[in-house]
Amino acid sequence: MDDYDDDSLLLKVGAGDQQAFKTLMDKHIARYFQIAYRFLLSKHDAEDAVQEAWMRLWREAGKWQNNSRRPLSFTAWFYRVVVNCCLDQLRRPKNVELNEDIANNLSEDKVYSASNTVLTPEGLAQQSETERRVKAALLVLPVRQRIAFTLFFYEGLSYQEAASFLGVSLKAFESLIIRARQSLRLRLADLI
Amino acid sequence: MVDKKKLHCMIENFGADTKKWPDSSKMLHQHMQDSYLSQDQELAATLSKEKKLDAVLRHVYVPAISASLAQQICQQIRAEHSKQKAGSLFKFQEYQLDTWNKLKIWVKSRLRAYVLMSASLMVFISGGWVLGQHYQQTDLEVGDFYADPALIMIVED
Repeated sequence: MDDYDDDSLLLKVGAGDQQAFKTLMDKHIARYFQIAYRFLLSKHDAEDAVQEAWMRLWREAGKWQNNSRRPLSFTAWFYRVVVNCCLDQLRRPKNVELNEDIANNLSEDKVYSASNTVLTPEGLAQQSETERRVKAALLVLPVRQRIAFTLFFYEGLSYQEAASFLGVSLKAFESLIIRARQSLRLRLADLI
Repeated sequence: MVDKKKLHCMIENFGADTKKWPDSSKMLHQHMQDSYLSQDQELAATLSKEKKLDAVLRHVYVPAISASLAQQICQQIRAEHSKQKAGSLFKFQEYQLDTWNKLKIWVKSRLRAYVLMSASLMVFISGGWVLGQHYQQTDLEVGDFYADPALIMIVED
């Protein structure tokens, strides 16, 4: 199974091959968890999103390539699935409340107590103050700005790729990046 | 002529890495742009500030994924797969059951018809036989006249 490339494995998954699914998952789960974590900044939410994304892959692998006129590679296709699962996760009410909570705390200079609510206790003990500040600043960003910034800055995607994943024009994507960066610079001014 | 103000904006908007600037916003050749940025003190300061911001933003630690997550997903997949299989099997059985039921109904109706036909035939035959027996006993045979003297006298009279 290891000899097959991702696209061939995905085709096999579409035919109901569990071994191909396991191979594909073992190969990529850590990377897509990393992406989901950077979007959601919560281990629990990221794991939920990743789990949902792999379940969707199992259910919809058969539709891959069949339904599109211009076939996507596994990476491009699954990237979209993960981004959509993260957006679904962010749309859940608890996240909205959490983000608003953090935003309120930030405005009152209570950054650390705000980030405490997002991070796991084990992670909190290990992470530096800078990291907490950065996470809090990222969480305050509007969802689209955060995703755009993550795709571009952390994932290193090109403008065209990231814009297509988000389904926005190039100009709109550039504008999202500029606003995100301005907001982050403002919130992290004392650290730079 | 390089527009210093615009370059300043570009650094702030898209970060210190000039290679990551959008194509539409690149004003000069990469090499020329980089040398200009390092020569100008003001721009160099902005550049180092943005580099610091980039470094700070990199301070996002990603925790390790739970070891059980992959296992959980595999279990879910297996459960879903067996459910799908059971679903298809049930459909097949349903089809089979349907055919079997139809066959049973057909055989039953035929049997019922044959049984009813043969039963009614039997009833008819046995009825005829009983009636035949009844009337046979009352009939006089030719020999009766010779056996019974009283009857002979009647006939002679």
